[in-house]
Amino acid sequence: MKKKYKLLATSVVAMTLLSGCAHKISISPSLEDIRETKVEKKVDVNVGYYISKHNKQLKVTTPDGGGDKVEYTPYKDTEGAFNTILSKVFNRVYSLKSINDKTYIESKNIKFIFTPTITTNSSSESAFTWPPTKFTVALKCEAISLDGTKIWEETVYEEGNAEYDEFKENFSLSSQRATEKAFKNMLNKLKVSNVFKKEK
Amino acid sequence: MKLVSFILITLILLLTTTGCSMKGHEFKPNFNSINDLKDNNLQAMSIQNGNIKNEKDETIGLRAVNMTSPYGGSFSKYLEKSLEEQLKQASIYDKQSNIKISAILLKNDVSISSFSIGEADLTANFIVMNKDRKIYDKEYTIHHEWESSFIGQIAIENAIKNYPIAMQKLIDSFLLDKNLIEVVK
Repeated sequence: MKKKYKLLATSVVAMTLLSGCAHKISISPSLEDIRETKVEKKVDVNVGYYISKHNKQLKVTTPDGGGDKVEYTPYKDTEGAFNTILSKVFNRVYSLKSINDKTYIESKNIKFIFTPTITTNSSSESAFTWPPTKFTVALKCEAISLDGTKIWEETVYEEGNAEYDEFKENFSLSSQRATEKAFKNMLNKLKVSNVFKKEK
Repeated sequence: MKLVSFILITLILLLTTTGCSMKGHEFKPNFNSINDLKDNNLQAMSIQNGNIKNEKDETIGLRAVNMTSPYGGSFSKYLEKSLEEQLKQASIYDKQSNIKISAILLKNDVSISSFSIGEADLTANFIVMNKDRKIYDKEYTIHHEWESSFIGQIAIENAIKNYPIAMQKLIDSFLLDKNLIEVVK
């Protein structure tokens, strides 16, 4: 009987270890504050944004507490935030399936195409709880005109932090705080840029 | 031989069950539909909060796991919030609008009993009011399928990942309906 328990315990431990535990989180920021950001006047042009199929499906793993990892889909999780900040500044925003589909781009009267690049990292000060206490994000945003010339580029770096008492209700909290700050910051850079007004 | 059976049963139980409650994923809009929504030039709309509490609000059983709604534990709320987010992303949401949508979730079935296919069947009734006048009343049902697995953890994760896609389909069938476009343009 003792042997059976030993085997059971070994099986449980082996299954737990072999499951390669990467905790899934969502880094989608809250959009309420971003939507409430004041933008004096929209730029009266239509724009598109392009996130490749590969990036939309991209899963990223970064470290968390206790030697585990967190897994998330940075582009899929933040596409709503990207569409939101562009919609705050420009007349109409289209999601593009291809950057080379000239017919579609012209039919929508699109003048500029935006592409985001997201780089993330995470860590935790705790050895006993897995949710990250610190999450960093670098958000780069590039705009090209229809002839492919780069006309604008900005990168923002932000950090989100969360303590145990806060993240016990939301394991993704530090990441969501970081992405919210990054997209707000990018919106502030977009709305003060004169490049798009000149190019109109 | 008994010992081998014992180990096998233990492993199967571990693979097929986890015995807990898991929060579902939040809704993510379908941005291809949002392109179409923007081109339809609809008037801004708002959502009439239903506060409906019925059996469709209960958790969804996925083998040994119960999936709960990330929106206050209510799947009716899930539908409302998803609809609201889709309208906001398409820039046609206005809380003050006289055009109000109320959506009632009538069917909310998700099944991963098969080892190969996961299925979701959702039905909702959509009513649109313009001030006191009912301008639209239609029921929609969608069926969504995805690849499932014998292994419980994979089957459950795939179901949780696919529920928002099923919700997207339900909302798209309503918001891109020609009759709705006619009355809300």
